[in-house]
Amino acid sequence: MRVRFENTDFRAEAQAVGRVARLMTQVAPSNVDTFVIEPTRRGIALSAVTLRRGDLEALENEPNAAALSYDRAVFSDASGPAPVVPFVDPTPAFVWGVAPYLELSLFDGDKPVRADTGLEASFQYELRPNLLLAGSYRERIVGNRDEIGAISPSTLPPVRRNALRFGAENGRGIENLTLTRYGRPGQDLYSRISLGYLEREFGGVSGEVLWKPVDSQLAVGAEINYVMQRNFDLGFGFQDYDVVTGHVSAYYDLDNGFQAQVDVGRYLAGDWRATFSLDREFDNGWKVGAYFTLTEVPFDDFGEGSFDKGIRVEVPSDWLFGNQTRATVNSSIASLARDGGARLEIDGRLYDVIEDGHQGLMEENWGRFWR
Amino acid sequence: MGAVLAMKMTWITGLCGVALAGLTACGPLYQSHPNAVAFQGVVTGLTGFGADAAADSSLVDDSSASAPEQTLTRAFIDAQELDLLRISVISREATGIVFFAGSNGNKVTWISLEGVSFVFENGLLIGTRGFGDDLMGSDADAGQRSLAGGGNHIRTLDFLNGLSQIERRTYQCATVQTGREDITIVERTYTTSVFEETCTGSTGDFKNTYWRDANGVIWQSRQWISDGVGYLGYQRL
Repeated sequence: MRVRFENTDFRAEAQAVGRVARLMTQVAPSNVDTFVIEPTRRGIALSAVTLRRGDLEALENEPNAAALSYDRAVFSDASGPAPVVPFVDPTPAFVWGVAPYLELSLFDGDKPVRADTGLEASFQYELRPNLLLAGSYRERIVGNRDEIGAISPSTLPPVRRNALRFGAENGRGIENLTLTRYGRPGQDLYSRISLGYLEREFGGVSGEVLWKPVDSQLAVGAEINYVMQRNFDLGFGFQDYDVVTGHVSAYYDLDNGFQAQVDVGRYLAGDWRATFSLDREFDNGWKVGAYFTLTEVPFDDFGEGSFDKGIRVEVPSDWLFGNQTRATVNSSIASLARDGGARLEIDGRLYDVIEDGHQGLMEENWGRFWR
Repeated sequence: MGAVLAMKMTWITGLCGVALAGLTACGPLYQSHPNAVAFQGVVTGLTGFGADAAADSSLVDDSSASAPEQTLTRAFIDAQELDLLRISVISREATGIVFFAGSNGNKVTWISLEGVSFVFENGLLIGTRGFGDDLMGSDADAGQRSLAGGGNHIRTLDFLNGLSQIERRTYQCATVQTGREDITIVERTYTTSVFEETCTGSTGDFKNTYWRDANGVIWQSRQWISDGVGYLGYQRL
């Protein structure tokens, strides 16, 4: 018996797989002795976990059940069609929300801190499970981000240097508005196409393909984008700067939770070369990483900071608040945003979407299988 | 280059800390949003409102019973379609009724209305779910055999630590019969032998007590769950 499901509650996909497996022992006809469980995200299947019903019954609440059940599970690709029995998805296709936001800009040259606070309205509409329309809009209530501090000059096109100007003067605007389609073009292959106002400063088209076998520590991806710089008022308009940007990326899941990534390609200002990053993902969901980017832009032309670099931290909300959720709180500290080595910031890049459903992370979290 | 990082930074924070402004998140998209959840937590903590929405149970949170504990009579018990257990979590001064939920061989799962569950094998606790610091699994065979008249045995208990890893603990246990006792559970009296199982491990000790009748049915017991939860008491109804 094969089941495809989407986990919206549990940080650890292994926990969701365990729950589905135990549900199946309750509902599957007694002549079914093999369960194939396929976690999905954004409408695409991530992996197929094959379990024997007899193992589940024998190991439940036994000592060492987690390790023994992991040993007996078989992981494989799930690029085939969905199971034939249709079902009615109880979750609404359209969801919306209004939340407060706080935006800080530090050290803009004139003032150490500027801050805005206001309301952000967001929505997501699932046209099909793998075809998503999503957007968000911000309205400032109070804040002093309306004056722009000194922005030091540069010889490069101003792709990030003037980041503080976006949405600053009028205090409202469309943060993003995108249509995204995810796909499985073949075994071990994943694809994404995004269209629209991809981020605050750029809009356009973005396409990505990723090769990642379920049990592989190595993944290779390629992304190509054609984007135009948006107007500072965050309306629908564009400025007259456009660029083709893209990268070929290699991801390697080292042992001990370390993950290395190299991206080689063309950045937003048209500069070429590479970004190197190393992240440590802890088994409780915390993620800490550092990166740097070196491009053909000479350090003198880059301006203050010489090259782009930073550290980032991701904290899982289930750890913070003790409830079951897949949400995370992210923070990053980067050297002052400059024009060299700047990448497009897109939500939902493939590696982030599929990583949790593959064998490496499931193994690390398999202790939660029986949770 | 050098210590550039310290000099100029751009912080991109999430939507955080604006609960200060008296605002909160709403809408289906934000049901599990960090800010919404944090804010709800603050409101619940300060006023006690929203306690119904809090994920966990009265069994875990306070001492209110999850079923009509005060009016428990034999007639009420007999009228139930499902078998019942009266349980108490001693460290939390919480008592309640749990219901038969299913069985897998000798393993029987009991569940409270709030979803906290207990798994027993021949009356010995081998698992819990819903407490946080749960007993994830245990072997009951040797302990079960020792109740036939006493003896030494080894028990293994699995716990889930904060890093999602299973932590296995092994205990050296000794079971002795300490006496005989007539116990009354809701208008019925049973003649039982009292056994104490004392277990010693590298991280601590615990002592389980069983009231067992001549047919081997454990009518009442006190068994250790975990460091975080302490002892479970139960009576078969």
